[in-house]
Amino acid sequence: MNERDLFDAIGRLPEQYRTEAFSSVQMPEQAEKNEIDAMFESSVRTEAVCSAAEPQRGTAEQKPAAAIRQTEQPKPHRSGLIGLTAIAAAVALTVGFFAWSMRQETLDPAAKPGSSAGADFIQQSDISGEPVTALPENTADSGFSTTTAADSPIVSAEDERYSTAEPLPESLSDSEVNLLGGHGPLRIAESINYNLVLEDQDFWYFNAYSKVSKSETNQYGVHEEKLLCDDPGCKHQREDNCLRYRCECRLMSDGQSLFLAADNQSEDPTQLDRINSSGETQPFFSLKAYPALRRALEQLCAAQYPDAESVNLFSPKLDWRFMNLFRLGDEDIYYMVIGTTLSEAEQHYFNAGFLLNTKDGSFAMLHLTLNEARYDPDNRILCLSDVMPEQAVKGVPAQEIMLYDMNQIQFTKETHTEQAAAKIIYMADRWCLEDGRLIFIRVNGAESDAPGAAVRYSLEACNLNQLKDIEAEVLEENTKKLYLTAADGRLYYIIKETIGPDRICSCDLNGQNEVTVFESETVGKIGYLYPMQNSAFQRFLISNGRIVILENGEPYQIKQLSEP
Amino acid sequence: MTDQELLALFIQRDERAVSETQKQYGRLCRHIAYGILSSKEDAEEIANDVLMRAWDVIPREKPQNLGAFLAVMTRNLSTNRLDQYTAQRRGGGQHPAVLDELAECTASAENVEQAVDARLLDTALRQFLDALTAEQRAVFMLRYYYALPVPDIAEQRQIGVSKVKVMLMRLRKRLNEHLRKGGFL
Repeated sequence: MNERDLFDAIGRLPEQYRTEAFSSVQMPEQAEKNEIDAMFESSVRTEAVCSAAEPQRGTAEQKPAAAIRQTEQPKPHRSGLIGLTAIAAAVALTVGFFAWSMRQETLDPAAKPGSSAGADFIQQSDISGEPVTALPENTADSGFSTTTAADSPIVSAEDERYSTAEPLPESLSDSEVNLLGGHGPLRIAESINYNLVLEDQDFWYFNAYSKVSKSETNQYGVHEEKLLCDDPGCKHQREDNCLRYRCECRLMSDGQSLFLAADNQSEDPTQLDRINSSGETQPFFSLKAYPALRRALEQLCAAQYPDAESVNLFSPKLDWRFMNLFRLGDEDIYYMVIGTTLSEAEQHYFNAGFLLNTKDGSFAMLHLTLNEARYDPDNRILCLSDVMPEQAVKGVPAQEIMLYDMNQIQFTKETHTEQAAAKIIYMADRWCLEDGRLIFIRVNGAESDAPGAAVRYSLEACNLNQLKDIEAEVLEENTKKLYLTAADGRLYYIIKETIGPDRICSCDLNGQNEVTVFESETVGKIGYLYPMQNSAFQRFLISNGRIVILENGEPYQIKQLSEP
Repeated sequence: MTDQELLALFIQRDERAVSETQKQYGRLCRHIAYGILSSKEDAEEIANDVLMRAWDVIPREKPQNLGAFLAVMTRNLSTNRLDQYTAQRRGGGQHPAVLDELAECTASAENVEQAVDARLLDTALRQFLDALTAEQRAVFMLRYYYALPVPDIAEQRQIGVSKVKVMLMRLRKRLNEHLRKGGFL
C-alpha cells in the first residue's frame, strides 16, 4: 500500500464523515484574508464577470457557464509565492532578533503601546523571585505561544549591572602558554556576532573549537584545522583536562576583552567573568533575576503545553548560561544573550533565551523550544528561533530534519546549548552589522549553500513592535554571496562558482561596485565531506588590514588587504 | 444567505444563485483547489467549474450541506485536473504534501505491489475515524480529504496553526499504528 492508496481510500469515505467536517465551515469572501487569498486579490472577480454577462433568467438550459468561466489564461510556472513569503518571514525573524539590540527606549512594557500581552505577562516586582502575573488566556490556545516579539515578556531588574572595573592586565610573555594552549597573549582577530577568532603566536582559533597552526603543516604541506582538544581519548566532558570543554561556547568577546561564562554544571552558572590570556578571571556580571525568569518560563511552558500535567524544570541554578554578549558602537551598554537549559514537561522540551540590556537591567525573551510543535511538517524544518511564532515556523534557517529523526533527538544538559550555539554560528556567516544597518543574506531553503537574496535593513526601523512591517531593501535578488562580513565600510564575501574558481569579492554597502579581492587558483581538489567544502575557498577573515584565507588543499594565506 | 436560501435560488434558476454561492463558498473552493493544484489560475478555473456544475446538477441533486457538496466537487475536479498534470506531480501544492504526509502512515518495508483489499482498508479507515474525537475527525478530513492548507483549517476550527500541525502529526502516527495493527503495512 502506498500513500495514493490511502488517499483514494480517504476519498471513498462515506458522506457522513465529509459532511461532519464541514458542519461549521464557513469561508465567506469577507473573512480575514490570508496569503492564499492575497494571490487571488488581483484576479478578476467572478461575480464582476457574472454581472457584466447578465445571463438570462428562466429556463434550466440557460447556463451561466460563459459568465462564470473566466477568460482562459496561459499556465505559468507554479508560483513560488509561498516560498518567498516563508523566506521573508525568516528574514523578518532574524531581523527581529537583532532588533532587540536597538530597543533601548521602550522596554518598559507599561509605556509600550500595542504590547499589552507583554505587559500583562510578566511584571517583576522582586528579583528574588516573587510570582509573576499569569499569562493572558489566549496564550494557551495554540500549540505555539502567542508571544510574538512585540509581546515578549519583559522582566525588569534594576540592579543588573556589570562591573566597570579595569580589565586584568595581560601579563603573559611570548614564551608562556596561554589558556588555549598556544604561546603568547591571545589577540582577538574577529568577534563579529557569534564568530570568535583568536590568534596567538602559534595558532588561529575558531570559536574555541578548532585551531590552525601557523607554522606546522601535514605531510601534504597543508595547514590542517584541528580540534582545540585533539586527544582521541577525551570525551570533552571534564574541564580540568580539556581545553575545548572549558572554552567552547563559553568563551566570548565584546571585541576588546575576553569573557568566560561559568559552566552550567558549576555551582554558580549565573556568573560571567572577564578572562585574560593567562586564564586569570575577574567577576564581570552576575545574573540575579533568574528566579523571576524561571517563573516566566514555567508559566510559558504551562501555557504552551496545556496538556502537560506539570512543568518540571531543572534546578534554577542550572538553567542559565551566557551565550554571547555584544555592544553596539561606543555605547556603554552590554547586550547579553542568555540561554537556558532545557526544561522538561513530559515529552516537551523547552529552551529559552533572553536578551539582557545592562543599561536598564531589562530582559526581552526569546524562547527556543525543541519539540514536535517546533517541527513544520509542511516544510520539514525544525524551528530554532521563535520571535514571531507563526511566521517563524515557516522559514527560519534550520536544518532539515525528518519527523522521526527529530523525535529521536536526545539533548543532554551538557550539550544542548552547545548545539544551539552551533546553529547560531551556522547562521552567523550570513549577516553582519555595519554602519547602522543589518545586512543579511536570505537563505533559500535549508541548504546552507543555496542561493539567496542580499538584503539590507535599517536598524532604526527594526523596532520591536514593527517586525511585520519592516521592509528589506533588496540589494541583489539571487546572490551567490557567502560568508558575509564587513570591514572598513565595505562588504566582503565569497562567491562560489559551479564552474570556475571561487572568488573573494567586496562591494560597498549598497551592494554596488563589486571588485574581486582574491581569486582561487585551485578548484576544490580535495575529497569533499560536506557541500560547503566543495570549492576552493572555505573561510576567510579580515583582521588589521589583512585578509586570511583558507583554501582546500592550500595553507592559510595571509594577504594584505589593498584598497578596492 | 443560508444554504437553503441558496438552494432555493438554484432551483428557481435565479442567477443570483451563482453570485451568492460565489460569495459564500468561492473562497473555500479556491483554497481547496489551490491546495491541490498550487496554481492560482487553475484554482480560479476549478472554482468556476464547480459553480457551473452546481448550476447543472441542482435541482436534480439536492445537497443537504451545500458547503460540503461544493467542497467534494472541488476536490474531485482538482484531483482530476492534477492527474492530468502528472508530470508536475512534485510541483508543489498541498496535494503532494498531503501524499507525502500520508506516506508516513504507509511507510513500510513491504513490497508496495502487495495488493491491499480496498474494502478492508475502507473499513479500517472508518474504524480509525470513529475512534477519534469530532474535532480530530474534522481536522483529519479537512486536511486529507479536502486538502485544505493548515492555516485554513486553523481558521475554520478556531485553533492555532501549530496545534493543527501537532494534531495532524499525532493523527498520522496513530493511523500508522492502526494500519500496522490491521496488517496493511
